[in-house]
Amino acid sequence: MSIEQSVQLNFLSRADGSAYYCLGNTSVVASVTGPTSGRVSARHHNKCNLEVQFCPCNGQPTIEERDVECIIGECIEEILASHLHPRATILLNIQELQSEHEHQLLTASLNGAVMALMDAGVQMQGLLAAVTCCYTHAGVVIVEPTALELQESKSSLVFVLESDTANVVACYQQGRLSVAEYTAVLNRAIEAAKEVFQFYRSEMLKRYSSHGCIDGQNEADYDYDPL
Amino acid sequence: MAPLNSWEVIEPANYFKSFVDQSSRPDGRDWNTARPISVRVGSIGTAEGSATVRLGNTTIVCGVKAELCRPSLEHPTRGFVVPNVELYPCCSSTFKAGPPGEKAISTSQFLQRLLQNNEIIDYEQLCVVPNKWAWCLYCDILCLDYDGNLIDSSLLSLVAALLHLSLPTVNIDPDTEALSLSQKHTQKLTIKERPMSTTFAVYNSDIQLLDPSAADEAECGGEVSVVLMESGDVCSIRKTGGRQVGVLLPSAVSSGKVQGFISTAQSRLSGIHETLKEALELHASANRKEP
Repeated sequence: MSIEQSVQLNFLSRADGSAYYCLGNTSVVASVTGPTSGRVSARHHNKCNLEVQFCPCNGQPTIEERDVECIIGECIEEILASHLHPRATILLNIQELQSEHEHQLLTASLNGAVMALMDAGVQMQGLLAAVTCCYTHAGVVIVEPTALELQESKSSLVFVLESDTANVVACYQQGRLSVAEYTAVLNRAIEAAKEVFQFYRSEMLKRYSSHGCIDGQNEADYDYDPL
Repeated sequence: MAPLNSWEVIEPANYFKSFVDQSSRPDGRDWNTARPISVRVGSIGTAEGSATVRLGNTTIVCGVKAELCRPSLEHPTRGFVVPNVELYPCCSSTFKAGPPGEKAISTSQFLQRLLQNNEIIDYEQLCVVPNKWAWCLYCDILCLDYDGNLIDSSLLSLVAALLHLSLPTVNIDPDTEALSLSQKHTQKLTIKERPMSTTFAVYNSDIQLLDPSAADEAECGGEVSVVLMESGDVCSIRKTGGRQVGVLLPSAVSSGKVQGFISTAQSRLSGIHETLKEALELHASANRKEP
């Protein structure tokens, strides 16, 4: 079963890049500003500074949102070609619009952020895809579960995978699993990540073919296997 | 010749690499050697439960303060456990005074989720009167000396403090519904499982360092923490991204590597549990001597 996802790139007019990304019942808007000048105190002499702001759909950001910011920041910094912009700042704003559950929110935020960075044309060393998986008591791995499926499952995991070698960049697990079960989930997540990378690719092709940069008809000429 | 120390300051990455190239680390350990662990429970007399953990130079004190509060409407028969990690500037120059930083927040959140999602504690046991009174356990995890590997040490101190915890018995006057606490702390909390974490710092895709010190963490990309139950089941795997410049994805690990981490963590498990048991027995026997 394919992952239910959609995106609208260049969604915001004032940002350098933005993406309105929907994943299942979760939707987020991610916007990127920069590389621009930032706080002097946050400047690095050898790389750019990435600032992540995560806004929940209701209420003030709490400690949980700060944690999400940390996770996203650590992952994105991994792929950013940050050495190209010393002393600069890249601002990444993520606005939650609605969410199914916290795992999917993290997944959607990360994928949305990567798409917004692509839209902004920020140089990166690779791409990331986040995938939520859950392992049910019956031994079935569900990719992008609904809140109900999550509740009924034994364990839930978020994997952040990298496009070049399908290596694990980050992993967050809740609920116990045996080693064999864990491996099964990881393998399924790698399969699902391929689908997300394919989605990135087709969306970028769409975006640039409408600008006349790439002829959408000759998509096969640019065929490239992300994994 | 300039002293070795200035090399470390001027070119930290190069300095560190020269050790790693020799299958070693600046503190003399090889990649797969952990630092000695020492655990002491009952180190704070005023707290309901407490423990001190030392992992090499890393020193963590965990104190559990129990307060009676109202249970939430969602779960009227459950108490609360609130782990809170504090990293004050005195433990390392990398931490600043003021609101909690990223590391403290993410560690607190990690511990909170770990307790909640794995049925480690019987939350129902913390309820005194359904819908009225429940215990809220504030677990303050204080870092006195930070030398890396916060996850392992804070989790160990939290588990040890919760094992040491004894709550006062609550007496309820049937007529006035007034509460009174007995002076004797007797009620123990049932800890169903004892999760233990093993952390690796990822230097690159080939080299991972077990039990990283602060110097190792500074030179490495991400960290992988494998939390295992006593049975060896994977309770949680937490892998953070790294913060490095110019090298292509240094801290990403292949799925095969993840299995290696799990098996290394499993091999360390019995030693850590043994240390914890010894500390608890030592405390219990000391208490018997002076009633």
